[in-house]
Amino acid sequence: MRIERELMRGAGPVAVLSLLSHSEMYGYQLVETLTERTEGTLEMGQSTLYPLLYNLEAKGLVRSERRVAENGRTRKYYAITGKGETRLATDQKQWQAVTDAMQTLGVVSGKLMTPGLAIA
Amino acid sequence: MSDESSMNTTPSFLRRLLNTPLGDLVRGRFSGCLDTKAVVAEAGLPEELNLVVRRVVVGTRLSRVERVEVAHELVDHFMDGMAEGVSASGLIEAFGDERVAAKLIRRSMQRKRSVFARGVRQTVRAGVLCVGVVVVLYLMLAIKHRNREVRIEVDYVAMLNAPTEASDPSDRSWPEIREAITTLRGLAGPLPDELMHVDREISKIVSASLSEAPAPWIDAELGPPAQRSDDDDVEAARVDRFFEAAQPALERLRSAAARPLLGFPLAAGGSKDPADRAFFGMDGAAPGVDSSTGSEGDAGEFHDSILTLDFPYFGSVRLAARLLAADARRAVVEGDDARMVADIGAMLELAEQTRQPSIMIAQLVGMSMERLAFTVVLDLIAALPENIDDRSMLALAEMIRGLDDERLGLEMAGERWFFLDIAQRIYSDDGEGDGSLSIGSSVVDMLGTPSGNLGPEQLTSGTGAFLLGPIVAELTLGRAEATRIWMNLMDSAEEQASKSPWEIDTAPLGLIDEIPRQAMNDEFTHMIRYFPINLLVPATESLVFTSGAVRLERDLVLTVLELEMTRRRIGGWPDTLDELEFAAGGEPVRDPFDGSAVRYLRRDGRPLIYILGPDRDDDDGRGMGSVGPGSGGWRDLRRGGLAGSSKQWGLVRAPGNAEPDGDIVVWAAGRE
Repeated sequence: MRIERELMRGAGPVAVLSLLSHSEMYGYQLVETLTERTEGTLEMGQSTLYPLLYNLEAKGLVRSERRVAENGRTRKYYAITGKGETRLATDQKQWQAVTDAMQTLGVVSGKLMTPGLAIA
Repeated sequence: MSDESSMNTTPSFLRRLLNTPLGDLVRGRFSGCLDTKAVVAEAGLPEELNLVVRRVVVGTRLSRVERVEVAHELVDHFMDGMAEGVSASGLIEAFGDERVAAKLIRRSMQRKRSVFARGVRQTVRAGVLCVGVVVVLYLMLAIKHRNREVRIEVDYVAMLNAPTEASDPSDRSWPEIREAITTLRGLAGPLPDELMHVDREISKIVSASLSEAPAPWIDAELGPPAQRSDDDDVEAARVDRFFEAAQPALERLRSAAARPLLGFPLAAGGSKDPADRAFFGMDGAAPGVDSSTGSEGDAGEFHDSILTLDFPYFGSVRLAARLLAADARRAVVEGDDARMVADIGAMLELAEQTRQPSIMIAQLVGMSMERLAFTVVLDLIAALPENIDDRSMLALAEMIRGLDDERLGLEMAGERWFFLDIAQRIYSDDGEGDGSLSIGSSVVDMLGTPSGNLGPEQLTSGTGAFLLGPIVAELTLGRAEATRIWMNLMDSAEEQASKSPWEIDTAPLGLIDEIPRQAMNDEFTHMIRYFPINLLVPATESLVFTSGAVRLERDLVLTVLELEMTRRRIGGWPDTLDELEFAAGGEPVRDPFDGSAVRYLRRDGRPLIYILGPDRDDDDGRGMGSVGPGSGGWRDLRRGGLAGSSKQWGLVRAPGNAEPDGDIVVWAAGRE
């Protein structure tokens, strides 16, 4: 299911920060992981991902580093910063509150995931 | 690997140079790391992916550094996708809308910029915007000014020459003056080759003769001048021989002076008449060559303008006047006072001829000739009155009395034409008397010339001046306004020159459009706004006082003649000037400092006429001390006679330190 653009605009940064809170990733890896972990719900193209990453970087929530990967190619890796972790914690609480409220209203149902996107 | 990539694996040196950051260049590295195409090509992606990356990168309109960063990111992404086995078309489909991507990437990358970088970019952007606005304004001004047409419709040189052209050749004195001086050149030998040096030789003989007895009255009164000229070293016998042989030529000068007008044909470069060109030694130069540039007659906007006129005859007519002055003195010594009267008359007539055309320099030359004639009379009556009979005295008095104020007055018509002629050449013409400066580019160049030397060469060179020209033209006064100011200046000069010296108000003469003249040279905005008035305006204050001095000196000569005639009548010097009869009319000369009759006394039996001096205080004829400002102290003031103090005349008194205590003797008899 594709998420509406406005909803994606709010969810995308939290999702990316959440993924990066576990390990640093490069761009393609982020796209693939998001798609895989959310079963395509939060799938985003490059045209969305990279501007999102640059915005997070501009705000100091992530940092990037270009270095040689294991396969010999250079890649740009993104990692969450301390500020990003703080922001992620705040966002998680807010999402939790929103989800709880939605559940109360019956807009959503079922079990909630623990804060953040669970990494298998 | 695509063709693109293969092409860019070996970029040319120039390409690498152009795509190398300044920092790398400083370190001597030609990295070419800003070459986006090379980054994309080196990745070896399929061409369709290359194109996507390049289109997105170009669409971001980011800086080259930022574009390279984005290019790397996208290339990495696609390569990772290819490595995962995704097809190029699949990657392109997953990428999303290229335009949206470029737009979002641009915005996010801009947010990544540091505050400093943003400030620099904003500043640069504002600067570029300002430059753009300035360039647009400049182009508008340039088009506006360069499209305006200059129309040279009036031939002012022809107007100056009109009296000569309309005259009968037999009424012109110049040809006879030229022939007389040519004859005199033959008498001055042994001579140098250059004609100008020949005239200089004649001038030395004249100077030697003028310094012989009778001594000038001022020398008799105050002693000889501190520095004598080398011209005085000419052997007396040679001087005598010269003047003896010169009599026929001098008679020709007197004959020429009796004609109605000078009749010199004014032209750029001096004269187009072959006889004149030979006379002035201009045989080697083509007629019409502008002497100020040394170039052929075409002097751009100023071709055949009053500005390019030369007046080589001034030197010749002045030489003629000096020859006659020397001959007048020699005539009295020889007892031939009738010849002296004829010489003085000829000098005054030559002066009148020289005053036309009524341009300032011509009037100044004419005035100097008149004053020379007056000086000769004053010297002769002081030293050798017994050699001048009553008839000659009366003839002199009648002749000089005939020089009325109108005859000796200041006329600025030529100066008005001078400006109008320049105006029609440097301003556009809107058909209603107005227009704007059309050669602003040259204006800037000229203003950059500290001397303010106005000439065609200064008006037509300089690339920087050319570019700034339209702006300057916009800042300068329009044609109508500039013409109005110029005419006001001329009106003011004529008005003040018509006043008595003690009533002259110098204040308006020191202003241009209510602004002090000095400010015109000191303040750049005035220099621009009032161009070309500030560069062309003559020293009208000096001209006005000189004009006043000529009239006063005329009156002084008449007073001295009357004094001598009174002495002859009553058998001794009168006690006061009230005893002078002035039977033919007139009154004693006025003191230029207070307007009252000049002071008169007898000292050691000799009569002495004096004026108050700058302190405007009667010191009983006592001269001022020799101590004063400047290298000459008050010496020049003391020796200057009546006109020597003219700078101190007028309603406005000079500063205190220029007011020496003492009077100025303006004439004294050499004997009791």
